[in-house]
Amino acid sequence: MKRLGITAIMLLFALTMASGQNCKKFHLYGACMQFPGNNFKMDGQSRSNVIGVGDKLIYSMVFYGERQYKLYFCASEEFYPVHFRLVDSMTGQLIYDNSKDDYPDNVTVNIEYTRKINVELEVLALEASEEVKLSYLGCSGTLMLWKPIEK
Amino acid sequence: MKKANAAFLFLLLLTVALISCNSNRSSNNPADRYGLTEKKDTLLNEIRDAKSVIYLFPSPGEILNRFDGTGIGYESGLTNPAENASAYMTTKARALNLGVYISDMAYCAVLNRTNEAVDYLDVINDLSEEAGVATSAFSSLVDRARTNIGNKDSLVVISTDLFMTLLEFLENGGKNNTIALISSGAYIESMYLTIMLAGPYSDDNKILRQVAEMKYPFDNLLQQIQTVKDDPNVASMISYMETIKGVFDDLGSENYAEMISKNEDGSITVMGGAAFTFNEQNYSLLKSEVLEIRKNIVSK
Repeated sequence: MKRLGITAIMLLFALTMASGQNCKKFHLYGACMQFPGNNFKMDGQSRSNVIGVGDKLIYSMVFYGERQYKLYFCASEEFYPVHFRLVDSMTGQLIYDNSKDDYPDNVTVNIEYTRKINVELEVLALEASEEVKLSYLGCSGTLMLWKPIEK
Repeated sequence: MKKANAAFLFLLLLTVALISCNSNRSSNNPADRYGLTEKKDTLLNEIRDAKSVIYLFPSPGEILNRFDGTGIGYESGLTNPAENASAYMTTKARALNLGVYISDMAYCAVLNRTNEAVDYLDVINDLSEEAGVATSAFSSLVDRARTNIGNKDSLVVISTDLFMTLLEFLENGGKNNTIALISSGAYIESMYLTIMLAGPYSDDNKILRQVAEMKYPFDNLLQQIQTVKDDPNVASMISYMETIKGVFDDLGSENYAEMISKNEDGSITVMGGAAFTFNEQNYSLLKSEVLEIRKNIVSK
């Protein structure tokens, strides 16, 4: 019985590994990696995750005051466009929704006082087949860059 | 016994069959064409659902870098001596102090003590191996740091890469309890260093405002580690961390009306919000709590 238990665990592990998606550092490649201009530094809160159509990822991120942030969003090719929203996590106030601007893949935000912002993202896959939308997972990336605001 | 053997053989064959099916899909499959993965894996979906909000927080290097330019300077004797590393024998002590040393390395890098920063890297490398969390990416960062001795900015970036690489490696391995301990150690050490450098409380001590804004990343760290509160090692850290949260929650704040505007170039400006402030009493309380917790972490 003990051997059966071990086998079951091995089976589960093998299945997970076989069908798992590796999105490690996806935000550092392809469409996410753009040159934002001089003086921008990468923020360690940049992030990649597995995503499917219909999933919503919510990142609670810290934005420091007196900084300009540039956020780039990218996804597996079939999953564009990416819909993202920035919401103040304390007040719930909507800061930006890219659906109002025909889904650009980036936004620049100037922050006066340090705050937490929820960055919500989902992939719309408007040109993908129903099969891809229903049955597949891909990657999403959020690249966060910043520079001090010049006074 | 025969039944058990038959079931064992069946499961083994099923595993092999499923894996080989997965790797022999035709090229018409979207998985092959677009690098996608089939959604058949309910386990993966459950993992994603459980993390509906992912709490992120800056690295120790990024936190300490906030104090660059405020006039604070390097003070020797604040960091945990490298030779203490060999005395940490438990998994918990190793993980917590790995976090401590990552902050110490960042502190040295931010304040231009690049040789000391690289010395701490050696300790981090050794301790990560002993704690079983060393990765190949990790050792290449250590090599990169050695070639960048003397370059402060590069070392600060490397310290962030190192922290994030470690967290990503552990997250992919499902070791969220180890992440919780390393991050807690790193944040307590960062707080300890900033409090020791900020000097005594006074109304016009501007550095204290930056200490107060550590409330935000600290909140996110605490939220994230709550997800593994069933681990007894993490649970004991959470009780410490909650005393600090209590102090942060009692901070006064200057509130300014939030105004969001869209500029001509399409950028967004967020004005106003809350600026947290200490009074003498809560700053002194934060200091004594952090010193006490830090003492417990680094003691051999």
